[in-house]
This record gives sequence, C-alpha cells and structure tokens, in this order.
Amino acid sequence: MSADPMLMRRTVRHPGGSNGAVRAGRVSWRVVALAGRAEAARLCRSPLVLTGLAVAAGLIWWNSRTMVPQWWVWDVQIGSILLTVAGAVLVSAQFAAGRIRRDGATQLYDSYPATAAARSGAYLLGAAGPLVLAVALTGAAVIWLDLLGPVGAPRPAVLAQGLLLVALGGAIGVALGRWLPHPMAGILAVIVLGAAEADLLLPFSGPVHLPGQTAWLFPWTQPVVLRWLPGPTPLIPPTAHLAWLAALTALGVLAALWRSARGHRLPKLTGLTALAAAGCLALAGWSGWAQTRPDAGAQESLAYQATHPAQSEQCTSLQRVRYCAYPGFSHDVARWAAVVTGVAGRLPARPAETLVVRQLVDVDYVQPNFADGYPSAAAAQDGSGLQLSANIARFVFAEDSDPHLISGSSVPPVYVDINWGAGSTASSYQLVLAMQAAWWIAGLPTTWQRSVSYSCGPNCSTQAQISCLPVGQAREAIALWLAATATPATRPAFFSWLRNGPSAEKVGHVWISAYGDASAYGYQPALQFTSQGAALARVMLRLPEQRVTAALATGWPRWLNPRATDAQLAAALGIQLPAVIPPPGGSALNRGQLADPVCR
Amino acid sequence: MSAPRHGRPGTLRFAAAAPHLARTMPWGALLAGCIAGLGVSLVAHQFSNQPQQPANIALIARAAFVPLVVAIAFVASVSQRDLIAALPAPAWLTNAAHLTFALPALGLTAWLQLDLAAADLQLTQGPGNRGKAFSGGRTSISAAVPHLPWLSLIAELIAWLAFATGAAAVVSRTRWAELAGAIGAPSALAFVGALALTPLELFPGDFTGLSLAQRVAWLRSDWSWCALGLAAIVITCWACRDPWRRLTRRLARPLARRARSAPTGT
Repeated sequence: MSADPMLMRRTVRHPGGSNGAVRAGRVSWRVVALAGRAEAARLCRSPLVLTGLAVAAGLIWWNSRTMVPQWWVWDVQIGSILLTVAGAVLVSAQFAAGRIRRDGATQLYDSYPATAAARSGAYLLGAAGPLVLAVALTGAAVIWLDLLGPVGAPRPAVLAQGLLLVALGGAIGVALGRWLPHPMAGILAVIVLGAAEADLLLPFSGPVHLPGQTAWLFPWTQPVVLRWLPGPTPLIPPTAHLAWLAALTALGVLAALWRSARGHRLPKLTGLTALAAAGCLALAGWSGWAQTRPDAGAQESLAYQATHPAQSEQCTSLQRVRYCAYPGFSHDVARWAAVVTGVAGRLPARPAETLVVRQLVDVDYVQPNFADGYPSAAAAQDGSGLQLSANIARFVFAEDSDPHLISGSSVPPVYVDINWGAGSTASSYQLVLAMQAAWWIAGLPTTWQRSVSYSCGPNCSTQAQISCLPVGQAREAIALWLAATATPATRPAFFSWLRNGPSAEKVGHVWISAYGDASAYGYQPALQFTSQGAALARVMLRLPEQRVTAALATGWPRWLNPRATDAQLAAALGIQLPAVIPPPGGSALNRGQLADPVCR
Repeated sequence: MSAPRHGRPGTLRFAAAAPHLARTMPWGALLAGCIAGLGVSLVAHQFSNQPQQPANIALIARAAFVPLVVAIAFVASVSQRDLIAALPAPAWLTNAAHLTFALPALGLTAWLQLDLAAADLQLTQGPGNRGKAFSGGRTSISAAVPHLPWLSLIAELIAWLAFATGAAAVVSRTRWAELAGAIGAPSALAFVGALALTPLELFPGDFTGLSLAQRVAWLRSDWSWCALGLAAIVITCWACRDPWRRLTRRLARPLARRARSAPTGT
C-alpha cells in the first residue's frame, strides 16, 4: 500500500486524546475504500492471479471438450476449478498484506494517518478485485457451457460457493500476511490445503478417504459419483456449505482485523471483533453439523431412479424406435436417434419388434478396483449412503449379464449411459450405440453369459467374462457394416478400433483372432467379433453402399440366420472372402483360458 | 561478516565465514518446509486407507517433496545479496554455505519421508495382502517382495531441489531479488508440473510386478532426472557468481602495470 497524499489531506489530527484513538475515529470508510481500490487493482495485475485465472479458463475448456455437460456436475466442477484462482489469490493477498512488515516499514506506515485497522480493511477490500474477475470467469463459463447443449440447469447456490472460495482465499491470505509476513507462509498454506484438496478431488483412489460427509468440512470436494447419476445428488449441501464457507471467510476477515485491533488496544473494536468471531463460530458449527447430514429421502429417491429406470424414465417413439431417457435428458434423444436411424435406415426390411434404447446408470458407478478387494471410491465418498451404493452396485453389475433385467427393454438390450460424448469422443459413443443396435437386429447378444475365475499360471489367477462369438457367420459382418455406416463419425471410429489389434480368443478347442472390449467411453456392452468378420466388413465398407444394400435385400431374413456364412455373403457381394487371420500371441497364449461358445 | 583475506585456502575462508553465514541462514523457512513435508508424509501414513496401491505411495512421496522444494528456494535466495557482493568474499560463498547448512536437514527429512513410504509399502505387502499385485482388474500372485525405488525417488528429489535453487538464484540477479524464493518456488513447481505433461514419462508410478518395459521406463526417468538436475545445478552455479568482475591479484597486476606506464599528463 502506498501513502496516497489524498488520504493524508482528508484526516485532521485532534488536539486532545491519544494519536491512535484519534486516528481510528477520524479515518473514514472513504480512506479504506480508496486504499482498497488501489490494492484491488494491484491484485488484479498480479501475475499469480492472472495465471490462476488463465489456468482456470483453460481447465474449463479442456474438461468440457469431450462430453455433453451436465449442470449438476459442472456447477460443482466450476467450484473445483476456481480453487486454482483461490490459491493464487491467497498467495498474492499474503504477499500484499505482509509487504510493510517484510520491508521493515511498519514505523513509517504508523506515522501515516491511516491506521493499521484501516490498512487491513483495505487489503481485505482488495480481494474484491480478483473476486470480480472470478465472477466474470464464472459468467463466461456458464455462457460457454450453455452453448454446448447441457443437461439440467446450474444451481446459483453452488456457483456462489465457488466464488466464496476465492473470497476465502483472499481472507486467509490477508490474515496470514498480517500475522506471518514471510512470503513462504502463503505458499506453504496453499501447498498444505492443496494437498488436502487434491486428495478430495482425485476421481479414484485418493490416498486418504474421509468418512461420510466430513469431506465437506474442507473448503471443497467433488463427489466422484456425480457424473454417473441421473440427477443432482443430495450429497452436496448447497445452503449449509454456502453458510460454512461464509463463516470461514468471515473468520479469516476477523483474524486479519484482530491483529490490528490488538495492536492498537482499541477496546471497542476488540469487543466487536470477539462478538463477530463468536457469531461466525456459531454459524460454522451449525453449517458443519448440517452438511454432515445429507437428505436421506432424496438419496433414496435417486437410488430408486438408478435401480428402476423403467419406472423413472420418459419414453419417446421416433421412427418406430422407442427412446427412454431420465427426466432432463430429452436433448440426448435426438443424439441417439441420429445413430439408430443410421443403422435402421439401411435395413432392407424393418424388424417386427420395436427397438427400445434405454438410458441407465452403468458399471462406472462402481470401479473395477472393487475386484481387488478395495472399497469403491464411489461408495467411499458416498458416506452414509453406503447401503444405497451397494444396492445400485448390485443392479449395475446385473446389467452386464442379465438381458431381462429391465422390463420393457429390448432383448438383447440396447443401453446408453448417463454421459454422451462431444467433440473427439462423440464417434466412440456413436459407434458403441450403433453396434448395439446392429447386434440387436442380427440377434447377437449384448450381455455377458457368465463371469468365471480361472488360473492363468502357477502364480496367477484372473477373472473372465464369457460371451459367444459368431465365428464364420454372415450376420456378424453385416452388423459391423451397419454400425460402421450409421453416421459419418462411426466409420473412422470403427477403423480406429481395429487398429488397436485383435486378441486371441478360445472357441471350443481352437484359438482364433477376435476383437473385444468395445470402448473406453460410455456404456460397455458385451460386443465381441472375429477378425475375419471385421475383415469382411472392412471390404464391404469399400464397396458402393447400393451394391451391399442390394445384395442384402436379396433374401434378407436369410442373412440373419446363424447358418448363413461369411463365404456365402462374400459370394453374394462378388468379392473374395478375406483369409482367416491367425491369433496373436503364439506360445504366450494362456492355455488355462476358458472357451467362448459359438453364437447360436 | 569479516572480510577473509585473498589467498587463503577456500576451506579456511569458509570456516572463517561460517559462523556469520549461519546467522544469515533462513532457518525458519527451512524448518517450516521440512516440518510441512514430514507432516504430509505422516498424515498420509496415519490416515490413508491400507493397503495402499504402490502408485499412491509414489504419489504421496512426491507430494511430500513439494514443501522441501519451497524451503530450498527460500534458502537459496539471499536477502543481503547486494551487501554481500560489495564484500571481499565471493558472492557464491553465501549461497554455498546456506545450501551446505540446509543439506543435513533436507536429507534427514527426505530419509524419514521415504522410510514412511517404505513402511506403507510393507503394510501393503503384509500377511493379509502379501503377493497381491495391482494391475487393472487382474489379481496376480508374485513371489518377489517389492522395494521402494529409493534411488529413483532421491534422484527425482535432487533434481526438483536443483530446479528450485536455480530458479531462486536466477531471480536473485534481477530487480525482484527480495522475492527470489517466492518467485523461485512456484516457478520450479510449475516447471515440474510442466514436465509431467511432456511425453518424457518422468513420473513412473507402479513399482511392483514390473515388466521389462516398465523397468526401462524407471531407468530412463532416472537418467532424465539426473540430466535435468545437472543442468539446473549448472544454472545455479552460473547465477551465484559475482554480479561484476572481481578485482583479483592476477587481474590487478597488469592493470597496475598499465597504470604505471601510462603518462600522467602533468
């Protein structure tokens, strides 16, 4: 803070009384406002704050580029991202507030008319500068995400929490600067708080798992289950956490003012500060208690939605296909319809049954490390909802293996999960949905038949999921061709999948080359196909579409019969059947591996 | 600081200046960094869910190094640099002395941190969990008991510390010398963060049941950290030198001769 001559002109020394008391009485709010404005401008120009804002803006863009945003995820995520700004503001505010003592200029500043309390007020007011920048960033983020066609609507209370984090950073920074002016204090505080926050924000396997809702007693957390649930979870307590952050911010402000009050022995100011501190502690106590008790009714309602999709979803019929989506996801139906219509539109004859595309909470809700005996990250963060999590987990595990799990669905089922890709990942989501639709048309299973454990060597055991492989069947190549031609994006996605290379699968006593593990994105159905079927589909994709359609139209139902072979299809298309591709691996093949049956 | 005479051996010069240099040492910053680093390790050791995954153990060890990096940045920034440069002793002497004083504390802290990480690993390999390897959804039994890669993590820590000293020493030569530690520490950490985004694969995580490719990755990262650390040490040495050319005897003699031979003009 510099000694502004304007501040000196407006204060007049009183003839009687102690200097400190007189100055405290005379310094007007205008002095604090003027000095605060100068500090705000300095903080806004701080390279650290500007870097924090740039990083936050970059993170918002980076994280939103591959998924259709859901507002109940993103309003929390904006708060998580604003933690970078809050950290930068904390360090910058600490530098600013500790500047006078660091420079050994305390006595010089004491000779000025503005008191230490006024200077503290100015530093605190200065934090409003970065706060305004954070408000602008949040506003820009809301507009940007709204342009991406999000699901749901932002919750102002949650967005306000993110902004309060920036204010909290400023308050803690000023308080630290007033008590500990060494520049290392701010940096160390950010590192320690940052380590705690990083542990809370790690999507999986954070080293320290806090029980239940206690994570919310830290300034911020982001439950990992958010993005896999069909609506806003009651695990986030908007009002209580807002009050908690406000109480912490106020305590930071009071800690900064306390030093000034103590230093100048102003009994009135000290009393007011103590009273305010007691009020803040009471508010913090209430909000802390309230946020550790989530709304059990709302939790059960969300769990019911997850485990009873048929009763919770709204269905829409488009071109003889039924799309069932959770409330709020109606925008996604058009995205799914574009893919399914691309598959169904190339069929010579529509199937008699109605295809149902259903949205559900998928197995991402419980993580694969469950199998290693570790508690699921999702369940661990769920706290008091462990039982509900377990119910959901049982349901989502059954999705993979039970084709009749959800009444009113197609058999084999065609599912999409809560998320849908955008940008570079949209093609992967589209391909998996197109393949499921094509598998349904071809009568191939989209669920695993069973899951088994087996020994893979002297010191090794592993688990495998068994489905069937349509070895040599024409319907396999046809389904692949239909899926790859569904949209302009599915063809390159299909070729990209093939580039990952086949694996060796055992069918009966024979090892063949096959593809599995559909995609890293979205719902993962049991889609397996042979390399020869993929090679035939690849040749079909090079042919003119009319030629393939005409060949399929000739005796269409026959091609869907398991007895129709690849050789017959190749002959009908007038092409040579691609050679059988030997399985990779050679001697490294796992002799103990269980065999997949041939699809019937 | 007493002015050491030119011509004294370096060790004697250092011994003479050491008590004075110890007084200018930022002990508070050093101890705060060591205690914070140790605190991170202790909290993780006490409160983390056991058994820990090896990748998490490596992550915690690295996170606990961060306060040490901050501390060394403040140790390497000498607040009285302008005054020291005016004294007969070379400017690097203060930096060298401060870093020498800091090394035992840093070494002890790092040793304790890695010991705690090794204890976490032992818990992972305890009777109930012995032989479990963590790779995806697969559970495999391995006979070999894994060890913490001490040398690799120490190489990594030394490189990080070298980045921080280098950054602080470089900033010390600028007009922001008084904020050298405050600028140097975040800069070094940002540089480490930026390295994580490069395709160099400098942060291997798993160290149990390693395949040949994973072993090669650890070895490559060790060499990369050594090379980067060496480069940072060279930069530190360059930045710690005197801000101007010091008048030494070797330089002074020809200058004096030139002065004697020059016409006086009177």
